[in-house]
Amino acid sequence: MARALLAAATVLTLLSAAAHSAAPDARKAAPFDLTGVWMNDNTLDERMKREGRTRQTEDELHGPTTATAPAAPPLTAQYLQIYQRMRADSALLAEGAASCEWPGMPTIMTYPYPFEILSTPGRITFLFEAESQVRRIFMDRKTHLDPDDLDPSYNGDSIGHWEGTALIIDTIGFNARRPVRGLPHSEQMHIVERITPVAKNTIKNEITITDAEAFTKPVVVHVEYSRRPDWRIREYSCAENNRDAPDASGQRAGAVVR
Amino acid sequence: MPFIKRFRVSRLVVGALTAFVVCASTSAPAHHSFSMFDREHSIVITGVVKEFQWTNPHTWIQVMVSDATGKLTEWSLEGGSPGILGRNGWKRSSLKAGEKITVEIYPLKDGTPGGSFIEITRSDGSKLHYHG
Repeated sequence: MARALLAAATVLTLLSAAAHSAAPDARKAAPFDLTGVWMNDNTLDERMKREGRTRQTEDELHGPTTATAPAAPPLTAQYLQIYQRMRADSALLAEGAASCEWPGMPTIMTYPYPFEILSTPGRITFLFEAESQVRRIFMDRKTHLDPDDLDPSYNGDSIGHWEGTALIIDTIGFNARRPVRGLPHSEQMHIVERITPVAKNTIKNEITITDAEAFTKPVVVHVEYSRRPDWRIREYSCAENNRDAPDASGQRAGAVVR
Repeated sequence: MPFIKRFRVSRLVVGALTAFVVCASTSAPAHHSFSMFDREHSIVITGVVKEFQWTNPHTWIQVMVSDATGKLTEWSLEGGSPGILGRNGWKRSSLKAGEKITVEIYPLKDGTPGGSFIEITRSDGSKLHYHG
């Protein structure tokens, strides 16, 4: 039995070595070192700390947020209807009521929480503080999963490659549960990210979101991140103490003690 | 090569149409909006910390506030997650049960005893801020 296991392990090791040598490009040193902890520079808290403020400006308190409806949502007729229904449904909830559903892509990339990037052979991995989420970017795969294996998911199936110092990440295979900048989308959503260095410790991400079924034009989101070598990523589970969760009548169930 | 094909199509679409560009300067709020708080008018309350909940997705300070007749009301004051407050200088031990504090808050619009905290002043005069 032990001998059989040893033989099996040897075969697996050989197979694994063969698999790696089959994709030598994926093991080449990255042209730009992305490893480390990164933070979205434009979050309210990062901006306030940078400017030495403890008070929000009028604009921050009362200005537009991503929850504010764009004047002309770039949606097809069918998705404009879905959008209106979605807004009517959320109007039934108390203000501020929120479930613990994962943010999903691309929101997780613009969230006010840091993430850590790991670079290992054939793979780039994003470890997020928010919901302790993970994105696996397959650098050793040139194509997406077959449709039968492409389970609709929050963060999708991501494959990546380098163009000079730009990391290009192509992601498909989404579920349609989470809005994108307040807009509904379909499972056909396709996201291309172009992550490029701005300085040694600053990168920008140009996120282009297309959806042939839902969007009439691409939605493009720009975000910049800074490397934070001394930051720690904490554990985060929204289910721990979500007193803002809506109850059956849509009220923030645990928000006050009655 | 389905991926290559799809990629090229999307790049063409980007070139052909004016994209709907959003800068992340209107950054997504974490978890929920703040529309349930009256952010036009802050109020100040003084009371004794019953419990400091250092939890996700939000921290909460439970404060017992006494009125003129001595009747106690429990206020629930919501703040940022431990990650966000931690990066603003807070620790899980920043507030202790039994401590007397004065808190400036944006109160709940519906008048129930709760709000979003802005600034906390401890009895020794030191301050803690949600932001900054």
